[in-house]
Amino acid sequence: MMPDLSIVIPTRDRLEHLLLTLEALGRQTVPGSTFEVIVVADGCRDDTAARVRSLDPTFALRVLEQPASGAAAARNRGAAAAAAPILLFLDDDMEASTGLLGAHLASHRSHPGKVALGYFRFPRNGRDADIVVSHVDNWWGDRFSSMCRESHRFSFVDFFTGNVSLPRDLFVLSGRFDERFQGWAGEDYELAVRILKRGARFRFVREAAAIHHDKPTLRRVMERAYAEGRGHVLIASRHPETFPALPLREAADGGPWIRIGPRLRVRPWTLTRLPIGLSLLLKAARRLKVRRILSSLLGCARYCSYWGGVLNELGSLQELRRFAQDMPMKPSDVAVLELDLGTDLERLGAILEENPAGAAGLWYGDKPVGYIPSLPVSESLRAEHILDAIVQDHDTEFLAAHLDRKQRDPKVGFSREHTGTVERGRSMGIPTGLPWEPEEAP
Amino acid sequence: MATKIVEHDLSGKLRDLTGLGSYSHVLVLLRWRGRVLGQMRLDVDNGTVAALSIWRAAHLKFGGAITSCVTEDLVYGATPHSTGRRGNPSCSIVVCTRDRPEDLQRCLAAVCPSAGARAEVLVVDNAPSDDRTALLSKEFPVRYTLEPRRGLNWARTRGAEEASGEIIVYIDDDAISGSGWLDALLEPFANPEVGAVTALIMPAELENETQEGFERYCTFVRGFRRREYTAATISPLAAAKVGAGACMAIRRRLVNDLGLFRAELDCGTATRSGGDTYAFYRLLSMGYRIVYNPEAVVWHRHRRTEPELRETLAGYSIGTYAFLLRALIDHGEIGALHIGFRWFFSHHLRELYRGFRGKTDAQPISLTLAEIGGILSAPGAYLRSRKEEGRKTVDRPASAAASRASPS
Repeated sequence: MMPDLSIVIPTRDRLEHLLLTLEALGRQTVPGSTFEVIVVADGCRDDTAARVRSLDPTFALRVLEQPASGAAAARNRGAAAAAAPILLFLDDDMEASTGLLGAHLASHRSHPGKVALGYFRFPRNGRDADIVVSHVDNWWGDRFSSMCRESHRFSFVDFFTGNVSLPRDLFVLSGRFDERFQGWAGEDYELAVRILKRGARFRFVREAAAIHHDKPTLRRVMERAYAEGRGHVLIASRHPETFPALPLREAADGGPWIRIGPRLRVRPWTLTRLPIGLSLLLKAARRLKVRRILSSLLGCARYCSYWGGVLNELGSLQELRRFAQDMPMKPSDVAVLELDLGTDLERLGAILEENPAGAAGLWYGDKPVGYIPSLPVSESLRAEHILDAIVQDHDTEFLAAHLDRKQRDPKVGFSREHTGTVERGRSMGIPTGLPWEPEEAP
Repeated sequence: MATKIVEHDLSGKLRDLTGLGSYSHVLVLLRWRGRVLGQMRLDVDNGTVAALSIWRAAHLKFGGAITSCVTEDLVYGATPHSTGRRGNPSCSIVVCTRDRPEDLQRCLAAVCPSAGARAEVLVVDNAPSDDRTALLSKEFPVRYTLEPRRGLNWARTRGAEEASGEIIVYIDDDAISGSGWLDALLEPFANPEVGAVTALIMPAELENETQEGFERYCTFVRGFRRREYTAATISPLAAAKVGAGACMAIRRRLVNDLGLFRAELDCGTATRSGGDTYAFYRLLSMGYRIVYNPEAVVWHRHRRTEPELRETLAGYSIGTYAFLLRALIDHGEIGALHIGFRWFFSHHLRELYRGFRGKTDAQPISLTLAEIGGILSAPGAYLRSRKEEGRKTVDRPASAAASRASPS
């Protein structure tokens, strides 16, 4: 019988974590026959493959081995061997909750064709969280909270490979992971750009939860920032339209680093050495639990590492400037949809479905209400985006236009309007035309 | 001089407030279809407040928010859209009380109907001197538990051990729940990173100068905007900012497994307060999120007499410094020294100086002196309390020894 879901887990010399991850996959609410697991041992120097082969799990388990060629290549290899129509990329340190696979599968049943982004958090063991961990944790937590909102506009920076499932066809048609990203971070963003360009949509599934048994140390955070710096240069040169959404854009704004750089005679190697000095300071600050100093130092270390990576990739500051100059600061060829809220509001969903748009001009009759700008490489607008923009940013303009129209033609209204409140008054700011009438003094 | 507290929903019909002969002000909590906008204080004129003046003041202060609300009603009413609301987790409401049946009756009269069938209500009677609380509990659909060890944190811990809900909602016996409070407290727990949720605690009455003073000098109101706190956004030592223990919701497993409520802190011990702040401090430093949700409104009856107020303020100072001491001694928080000294210089000494200079808005000198007295006695109180409660811990009942599993 063909499984519904193929789980691809790339790993390298992290047997302990991997065994925990596999064990958690044996405790799922869905039966073991509905999924298969493909572990790709990428350049393992320990006995990972042999140990995994010796397991006897309740689900189909395969191990592929390859010489060290990076996580992107390992995921591609695993995906190529997958038999199921849905692929789930899971990191080797993600301990799945019992409902993880069920939630991924349910998402693909109810929203076919969409990418399902899973949720994870770091383990809490009842002891004080390390400051570095809590910063990384907080960063992810904020991102997930934001993705939970219906009005979140998914873009390529929301995609990550730790716990994500997508139709195999979409993965193949989008062109798989770019294997050149070996030693650079950002192959996930790069794939997301291609997926979004195909018009696919993302979905965040909080129920597909996992515990991420990763311990981000200072060194790892800095290495990661360095790799991101390099990776972002690669992404921006392949897809220039992503540039405004990457931290790299500071180079075009002439951010502080780029401006003072030449005066300090900064060379790439200085930037990469700087964090080592910082790390000593950080260790002292951590011991003393001075959190504020620590978090500024941490930010500083990440910043230096990131730009160290960027400069290493590009060679010099002059190169960086030239690179940034060629980049577009605004997305080009974005479809702009003009909406008349007076008539279109009730069938917003259908209109946006028919005319995918990256930006929208909002009108109420002949009165302008607002403009929703495009976001670099993001999903096309949904009704929730429009409604949220009206309420959050253009409420005064919308209400004024609505009241104005209503005064000329009292019958105007939305058929499903449940308030029935906005009755009379000119649009002089806010207080007119609101639901109540002060009672006359007796 | 007294202030009448009223709650008003601007989306309904606005009426003149009449019959306010004995009041000089009104404090209005403004809502829009249940949503909290904020509070404002208005003068009473001839025993009435005209609807128009309420409206004018509301417009001046909350015009932007009202526009947003009206627009939201309009557009979301007009368009079909998906709402991401899911069912809330199960909960138990725990009311800890000690010898205050009148307050408790008012509290339960508000809490029990709002809990309905979806939440159990537990009354934890803490070292009572008579059986009035036990008798009162029979009149309400509540579960009554007796905790003989005196101390609010013993009672809170006991409540958590007895409770069966996933979330425990603690509400003080001198507080009354407002409409929609339970849903607002439970809703943020959809995010598994959230360890606790705190409420907006408004004064239930401001009948005299003492209660006005309490609201002025140590209000429980932490603003009208929802906030999410983590150790990365706020220093855990400043945990008092996230809310107050008069009404808070915490995951039960965290209370049971982590021993959040230290017996040597809070009411009924020499330290007299600080137990809630310490619990928030622990949650933040262990990496949990704490959400302050002003949609959850609770009305708190402040102390009525001057000596009570002095005692309470002194108690808060003792509790705060006892908490800082514990953080310094047990958790090696150097920052506790910094915060302790800074608060002393920037609040206590400053208010004392302003009081002597005769500034009109300065805290009365007697209150400041009571607070300073509290600070000076805090180290002694903490050490004494620690010793005493440590003794009680030794003869802890066997039933209380809950399983200590790793909570991750």
